[in-house]
Amino acid sequence: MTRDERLTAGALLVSVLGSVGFAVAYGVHAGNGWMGSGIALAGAGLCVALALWGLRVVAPERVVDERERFAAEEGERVVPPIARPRLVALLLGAVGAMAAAAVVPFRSLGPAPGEAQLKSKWRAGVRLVGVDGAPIRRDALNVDAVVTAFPEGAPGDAASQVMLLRLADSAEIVRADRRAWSPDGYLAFSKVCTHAGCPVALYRAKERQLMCPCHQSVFDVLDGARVLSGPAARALPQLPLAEDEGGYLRARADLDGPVGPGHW
Amino acid sequence: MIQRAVGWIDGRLGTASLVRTALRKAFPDHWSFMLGELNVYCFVILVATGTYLTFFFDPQQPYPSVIRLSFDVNAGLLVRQVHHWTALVFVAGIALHMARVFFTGAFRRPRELTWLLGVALLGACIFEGFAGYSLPGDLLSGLGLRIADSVAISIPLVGTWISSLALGGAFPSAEMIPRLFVLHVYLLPIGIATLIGAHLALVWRQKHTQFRGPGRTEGNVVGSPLVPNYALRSMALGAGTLAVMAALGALIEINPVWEYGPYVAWQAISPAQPDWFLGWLEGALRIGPPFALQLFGHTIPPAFWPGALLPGLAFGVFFGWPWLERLVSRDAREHQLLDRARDAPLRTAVGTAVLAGFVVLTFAGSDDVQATYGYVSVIGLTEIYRALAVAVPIVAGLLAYAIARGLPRGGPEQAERTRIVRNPRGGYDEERIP
Repeated sequence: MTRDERLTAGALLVSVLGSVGFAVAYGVHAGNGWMGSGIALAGAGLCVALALWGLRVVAPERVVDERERFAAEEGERVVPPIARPRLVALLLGAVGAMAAAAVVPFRSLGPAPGEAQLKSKWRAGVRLVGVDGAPIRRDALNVDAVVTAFPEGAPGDAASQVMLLRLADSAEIVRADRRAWSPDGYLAFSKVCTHAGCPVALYRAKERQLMCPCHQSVFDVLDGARVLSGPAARALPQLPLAEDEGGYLRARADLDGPVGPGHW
Repeated sequence: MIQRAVGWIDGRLGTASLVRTALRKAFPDHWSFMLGELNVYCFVILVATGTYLTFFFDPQQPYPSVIRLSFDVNAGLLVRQVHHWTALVFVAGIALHMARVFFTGAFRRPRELTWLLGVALLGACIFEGFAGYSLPGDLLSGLGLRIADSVAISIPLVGTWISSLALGGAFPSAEMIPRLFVLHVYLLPIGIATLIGAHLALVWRQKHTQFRGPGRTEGNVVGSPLVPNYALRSMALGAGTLAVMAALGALIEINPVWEYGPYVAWQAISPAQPDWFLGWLEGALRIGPPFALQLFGHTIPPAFWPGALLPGLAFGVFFGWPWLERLVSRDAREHQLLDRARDAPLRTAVGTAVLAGFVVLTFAGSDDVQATYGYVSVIGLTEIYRALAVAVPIVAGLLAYAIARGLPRGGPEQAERTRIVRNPRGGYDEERIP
């Protein structure tokens, strides 16, 4: 055996060692690190052996393949003329109709896309509840705190989720006509981003900004969740709030715009 | 024994002469020709590891079953991590292979069909990768699906229908992961395998291209014989690929879904990044124009431009490139000898601009991470990346064009080959090699 042949044989033995090591590691539950390293060693040994074999053990060789010309001779007719062209056309039509018919049952895959898809369940007078379904009282949040709220009876409803947050003072709100929507400094905006539908889950309390963690659209809480930055083109719909005699937060009306990302 | 087996088959199929030619087929020796093979080996590893995973994955209970197969099944996590790592390398290998083919002009006549199949493979594999990492039903991938659905419904006319039929209702639907599962383990792999088969059949039939060099002409292929030289090298590549994938899966954690938790519609993760091959789309969505178009009482929302139009245009250009280039070059001849990047400055400029754009968008896709560790706010970064996304591809393209034009032309076959020899007086002479 030449030196290269001996090296190749050695690498092959290392590879066997790796395979055995993998099986042992599996048997004794040694964990992923050992198991995977066993396979890695088996593969590496094989790789080195084959590379040595192909590059050093075997003599290099040079082959020259001539290319054939593919194109037919000029004027040579490859396809015979079509007999019964009308029948052939009809045949193609029949196969086409069959293919079109095969598409029809795909209609069963889902309902027609209705406007009902992302309809919120907010109505005038509905109480705000947490994820656990418990109603939210006026003293539930400290100033600058946030919580995800839902309409009573539909906790967890994806289309109705709102970010409920609390300002120190409703007078900070830019639009005077909306200050009445914010009893005790409470504000609620749809949590479904108008850009790509992610939950607008980040509240930068100091800047009074809501931010979507997916594409970094930033919304101005004090100005009706107007878009300050990022790819969103539409403000987050606002949920007008009221307080009832029992001290619970209720919706004055539905969200003031369509929920979620735009569509055709 | 091999002789007898081959004899047995030959007696029934008459394959002896075919096998004899096949074994001596010439394979060019340039390393970059192995990138395509790397992808075939990745695909084999993916099918093997993926099949193992299907024994334990339950599309009706995606998240709990992924947690079970990761923690309770011996070797389950290893196979899952090897599968994920290999998928990432697979798409990277396809992209590198495509770049090699593009910059050397290997897509030109007569290989337009091979190019089309290759671009289709890239698209199918990106889709397959996305479907795969969406299967575990974790919070991170759920956000990705949420975004994908928003992009789907942004498409004029057909978008909402596509979404509704694909999901069996509104997002998030109970059907979506079982259906993605069918796509991921059945339809797409069969499609990918078919495309690979057709792609390789064309390569075999048309023979390889080759770089210019001594003895290499438009009429021949010069290289090593398949057996034994090239086959050994190729198998070494396969074993090496397995080794690297196993090491990655064993030692470097990937997609720890137990840290994200299951998908819940009102929760999010920050910072959040998709797998690398979708980073450019994520970046494009982050810096896309906040612009909705109102049309005949309908809306084209802002997610459409970066999410659907951009990849649509990109793949349109990829598919059409052999013909687009011909419009400018007016060159419809056959080419078996490859270009170097400098030989086609316009092509090089376009390719460089596309790659530069890809890089900028990918970085834009992680601006939240950069804002966390840097000194610029994420709002500032959005504006910076909007400017860079326009400027960098243009500058990079122009620069590549200028460099390609400035480099000396002519292939290595025209360069004079010399060697240095010591003469009897102790000095050195330069001597031409004929």
